[in-house]
Formats: sequence, structure tokens, C-alpha cells
Amino acid sequence: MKKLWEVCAILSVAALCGGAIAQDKYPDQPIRLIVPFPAGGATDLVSRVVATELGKATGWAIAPDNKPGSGGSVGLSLGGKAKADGYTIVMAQNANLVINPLLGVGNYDPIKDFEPVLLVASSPMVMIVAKNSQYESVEKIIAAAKAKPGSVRFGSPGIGTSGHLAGELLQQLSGAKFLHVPYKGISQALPDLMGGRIDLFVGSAPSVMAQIKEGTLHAVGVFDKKRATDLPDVPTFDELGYSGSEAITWWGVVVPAGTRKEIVDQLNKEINAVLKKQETQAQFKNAGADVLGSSAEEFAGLIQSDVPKWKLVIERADIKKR
Amino acid sequence: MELLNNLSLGFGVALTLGNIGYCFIGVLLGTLIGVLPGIGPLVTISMLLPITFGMPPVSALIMLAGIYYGAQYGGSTAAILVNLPGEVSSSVTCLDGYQMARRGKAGYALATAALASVIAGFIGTLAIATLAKPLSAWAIEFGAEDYFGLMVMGLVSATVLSNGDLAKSLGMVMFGLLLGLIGTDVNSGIERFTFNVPELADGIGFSILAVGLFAMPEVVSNLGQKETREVFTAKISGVMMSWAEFKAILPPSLRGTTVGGLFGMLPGVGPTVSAFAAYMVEKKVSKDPARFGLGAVEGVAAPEAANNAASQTTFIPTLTLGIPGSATMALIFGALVMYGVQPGPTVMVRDPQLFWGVVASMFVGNVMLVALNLPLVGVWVRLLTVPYRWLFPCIIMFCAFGNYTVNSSVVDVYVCAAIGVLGYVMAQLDCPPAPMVLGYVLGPQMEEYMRRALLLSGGDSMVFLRSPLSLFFLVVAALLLISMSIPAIRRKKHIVYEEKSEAEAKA
Repeated sequence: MKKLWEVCAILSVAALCGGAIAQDKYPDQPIRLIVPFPAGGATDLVSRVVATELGKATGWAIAPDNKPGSGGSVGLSLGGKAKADGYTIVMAQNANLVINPLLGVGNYDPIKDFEPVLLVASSPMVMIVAKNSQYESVEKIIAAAKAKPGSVRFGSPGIGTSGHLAGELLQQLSGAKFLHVPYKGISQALPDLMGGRIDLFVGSAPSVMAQIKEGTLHAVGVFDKKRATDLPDVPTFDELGYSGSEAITWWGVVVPAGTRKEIVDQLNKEINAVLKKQETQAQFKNAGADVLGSSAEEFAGLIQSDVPKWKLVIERADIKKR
Repeated sequence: MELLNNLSLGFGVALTLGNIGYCFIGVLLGTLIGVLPGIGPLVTISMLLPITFGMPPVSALIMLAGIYYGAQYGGSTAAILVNLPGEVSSSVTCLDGYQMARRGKAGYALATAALASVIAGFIGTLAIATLAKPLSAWAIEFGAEDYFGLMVMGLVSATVLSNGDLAKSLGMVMFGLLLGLIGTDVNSGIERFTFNVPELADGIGFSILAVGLFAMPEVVSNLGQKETREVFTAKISGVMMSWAEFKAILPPSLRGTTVGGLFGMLPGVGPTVSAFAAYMVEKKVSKDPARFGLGAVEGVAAPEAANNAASQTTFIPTLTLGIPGSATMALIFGALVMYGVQPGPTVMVRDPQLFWGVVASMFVGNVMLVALNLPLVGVWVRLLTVPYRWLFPCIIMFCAFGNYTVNSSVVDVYVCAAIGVLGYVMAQLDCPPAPMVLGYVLGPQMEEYMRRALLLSGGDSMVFLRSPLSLFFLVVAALLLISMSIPAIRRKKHIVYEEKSEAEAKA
């Protein structure tokens, strides 16, 4: 019996060495794609589309692995600590990669602990009001909030969410003061918005698109540099005179810091190619995400500019660390 | 007329061979997991979600919906025959259903549960078809203060109702409320009672708590008793009920359907609270409330009708408003988005085949469930008569596996085991778990709504009395509490429970 164990041990060591020797041929084993949210959400969909299409295009085995919790930080923590061998990749989002550490959630550094691969997709934050609201434009909202600070009730999907921070950013840029009413996600906020118990809500475009199309909710402004593809008539806050007001949700692939440059380059090239495919773009459109694709350097630049920007917003809004 | 057109469109979709098959798989699985304690629709649906990706959206939704309402049927079988709620929402059925079984009326109890469920299922489905649009507008009228009042009433009624010492029940509610505080506070984003364990930042998962409290202690105490678990297989007769018996269950079934149907549409209320509320209503309208807890057939019919009606009408806010009312609905909502269907006010216009197909499949599914549950009740019961030493490793494995898959987290499995120990200790001390679960579910939402109501009113606590809906719920809750503190009534309740334990001792 003891002999058998020894043989096993030797064999497994040999197998490990074999793996190390064969390293120049990447990938020679399945790649784990950490999805930091549960099955069913936009992040899961984006990840699965990338995994499936990448598998089809290259023949690689990509296994999406849902590791939800703490607003995505559980998955990011796991990814940051994983072996930097290219076999663990992470579908990160600005909320969990950049913003959570600023709020004291997650024990990782967005710049030091990860190697950016590429930007995959984005969708902008949108400010919405009920149809027939007295605040049918951003001008009216800002004017009312300045005339009587705290009188305009601003709902968000929760403290520290992208929607909340976008609203805070607008208040800081305009000097207006809203009464912030945090919800747990969007489901309870929309009836309150439709019922007139809050005046406006900021959430991601796909989460409110159905109600906007139906006409029960009215979009007044988009937190992006360019207008949203699905909302061509809604002005951006940039156009309305609030420059520096972009607040988008982005998705991007990152790998643990220390992953070899060849692997990062190979992943970048293959995923960029997948993002150009018709099937990928059609499936992203269903989820309400705009396909991006980028170089690793562009993605790194975005992370490096996002960190100080949101750090300042969080400090000025006095959002407490957890 | 439009309704007829819509329904015929729906049946055209639901009655294709493939969709009948998916509907059957759904209700079969639903009944199975409903009978087996420790595996609920939430865990099952989350486990099946990856499989549904390759299916047409309508078929996938028909199957998932079948699991959801099928589980309510199966849950009652376990509740009646082994005093074990297969589903949390069946815990009320245990009160009288099990007593009926002990008195040799298991067949009548099972038939009552199935028929009440079917009546509720049909009416609930019709309600979705006719009322979906106007009712989704009614739900919008509920403000934060109204939800708060509703939940206070739910908690108080659960405490008053609970099958045991009032002090212990109150203690369990408080314990549940405290457990519910674990996690991230909505209004400040600060983590509370998480001890820096990242997995606790979102609180203890509901399925973990439910498995730990209901399934684990049951397994342990069964093992302790050496195969003495009472399963009333031999005594099941009288499944075919007489006209007089049917007349006795029709009014409570209809009342239960009304209560459940209305409550089911409110996000966050769901089948469990509906069943409790229906039981309470039934006890109130009864000429002889003392029979409740001793095998009153109304105490089976009303909550069974209510939890079924609620599990169907809960689709109204999910599909028509895009507002999932519960964790299970949130999963189904997420699945729809993944299939490329955006639930919301547009769903009836943009995807009429999906909406009406699913509505029609609920009719089909309800018919299948009668066939599955009445003639085949013996088969389901045999599941419970499998020697326990074979069954329990499977149950434990399923529980651990299911809890792991929800978040792919080993910590969740450990937490579940710890709660299982706690649940066993509680069971030994006669502390009822149901009020605790309700406190756990409603507590955080109650806090959230209360603080939001106060935030929006600028800190004016009179807001709870100004809204007529909230005022109504709070008055009902206060009356319930006052009635329990009047010595005469309290004595009466004690007598009832003493009689009940004497009856149990004899049986």
C-alpha cells in the first residue's frame, strides 16, 4: 500500500514537471475564467459569450467559474491570488476591480495585483425619471435641487454602486444637492420611481432599457462621452456642460500580475478577434452591452485614470469605508 | 375576447410535444424536490440553470416554472405524512395535516392538499391572465411604509400562530431578526456582524439557513431514533373524497386562494407568508377555532391553496414589471435576460408567445400535478419509506452540493453545518424554527423599508400612520398582540396546546 502511494507521488511530480516543461505551448490545459457574479446577470452573460466564442475560434477549453460575493470582490480576490500561469483569467468590472478596493472591500490592489489584458464591453449609466415627472430635463432637476437642497430624491442601486457614484459625481460637478435614497438593486426602486416616491434614479442602461422603451420611464441624461446606441435622442451630461461626467460600467479581462507577456499578448489577440465576430456582437447587444476591444495598454490607462477619479468622488461624497 | 385569443395563442405554444415534455419534467422534478426536504426550488433551479442555456426560452421558462409550483405540491406530501415541510411554505400544513394523518385521515388530507392546490392553481393562472396588467399598477401603490406595515403584521401573526410557547416564539423571531442583520447595511454600506469573513458580506444565504434549520436537524434526530420515523403509508385511504367532504374544503380553498393570490403579487412576500396569513384568516373565520392544530381540514386546505396561488401570482411582478419578488424569481428573471428576453412592461407586447405560453403551461402543469400527486402518492411516499440509512447520505450530499453550487463557496457548506448543529439544539429545546426563518427573511427587508420610509419623510415617524394601508396592517398587528396578552385568551391558547400535546401523547 505504501509502495503504491510512493509510485503515485512520483508520477504526479513527474506530471507537474511535464506541465512546466511544456509551458512554451500555451494553452495545454483548460483555462478557468473567474466570473465574479452569479449565473444569470450581465457579467455572467458577457463571460459566457466570450468563453464560448473563444473556444469555438481557437479550440481552447475555457471553463467559466462563478465565484460571486461581496459585489464581485470574492472572485477578484481569488483571481489576484491565483497562479500567474495564464490558466486563471478574470472577467473584471470597474465596480469590483477599481471601486470596491476604494471602499475597503477586497484585499487587492487594482494596479499592482493584476495584469490588464483588454477591455471587452461597456454600458453607460443613465439618469431616469418617471413619465409625466415634473423633472423632464436635467436643467430642471439641477435647478430644483439648487433652489432647495435635498428636495430632489435620488434613488440608486445601493451605496458605492456605479449608479450611486455617478449621481454623486453629477452633484459635485453641478453643485446641486440631492437626497440620496439607496435601494438593494433596482427591483424595488422602479415601483417607487413610477409611484412618485423618488424623483430620479441612476442605473446601468440595460437594467432600465425595457421601461424606457415602453414609455413608463423617461431617460434624461447619459453618463458617457457619446450618446447611447439605443437612446439616440437622450443627451449626454458632457453635452449638457458637465465635462468629466462619464460613468460607465465596463467589463475587461485581467490576469494575475506576473503572467508572462506572451500569454497576455496571445489572450489579447484572440479575444479581440472574437469580439469582432457577428455572433459575439449580436449576443452582447441582447445584454445591452457595447462591444469594445482594446490593446492591453489602453485598458491599463483606463484603470490608472479611473482609480484617482473615483477616489476623489468617494472622498468628497464622504462615503464610509467598510 | 382578447383574453380568449391570448390564451389560445398560449395553448398553441404550451401544447407542442416538446413543451408538454418540458412541463412534465418541470412538475415531476418539482414534486420530487418538494417531497424531499432540504432541496428546494431555489437550489434546483440554480443547479439546472446552466443546462437551460441551450433550450428555447419558452421551453426553459415552462420547465423552471413547473419546478417552482410543482414544489409547492410535493412539499405538502412530506408535511402531512412525516410532519416535515418539504418546502418552507408547507410548514403551516404540518400543523393540521400531520394531525389528520395521525388520526387515520392521511388520504383525506393529501386529497385536500392536492385539490386545494389545483383550485388555487387554476384561479391563480386565470388571475395572471386577466389581471396581470391592472394589478401590476396596484403594486406600485405600495410605498416603503406600507411594506413595513405588511411585514410587521406578517411577523406578529407568525409569532401568535406558532405552535408553541409564545415567549419562545418571540425569542425565535428576535433571533431570526438578529441573524438577518449579518451582511452589508443598505443605508450606509457598512458591514455588520461579518467578522471580516468576505463570504458573509452578503449575509447568510436563505437556502443555507433553511437547509440547516429544517433538513439537518431532521436527519440527525431521525438517526437518533433508529428508524422510528412515522410514515403513514399503510393508512392512506380515502383519497377519493365524498361530496360532503369536498364541500367542506371548497370555501377555505377559495379564501386561501384569495389571500395567497393577493399576497403573491407583492414583491418579497411570497408563498410562505401567504400560507401563514391564510391559516390565520381561516382560524379567525372559523366557528370553532379550537380545532386548529388538532387536524382541522380547513387548516390544510387554506394554506395549501394560498401557497400555490402565491407561487403563481408571484410571476406577475416578475414578468410584467420586471421586478422579481423573491430569490427564486430573481433567478428566473436572470435566466430570461440571458435568453435575450427582457422581462418588464413590454414582455406581453414584444414576446406574447413567451408570456401566454408560460401562462397556458401552468394550466397544463396543474392537470399533470393532480395525476402525479393523487394516484401516484404511494410512489412519492415510498421515497420517504426508503430505509433511512440509505436516504440520509443522499440528503446530506444533496444539501451540501446544492449549497455549494449557489455560490460555489465551501464556506457556505460550513455555515450550513454550523446552523444544522444550532437547529438540532433548538429542536431539542422545543424552539420552533418557523418564526425564526420568517424573522430572518422579513427582518432585513423590514429594516430597509422602515429606514427608507423615514429617510423619505425626513425622519417623521408619523408616516406609518398617515398611509391608510400601513395603518391598517399595523392596527391588525396590534390587535393580534393585544388579543394574545388578554389573560382569558392566553389561557384558552394554553388549553388548546395542552389538549394538543395530550392528543399527541395518545396517538
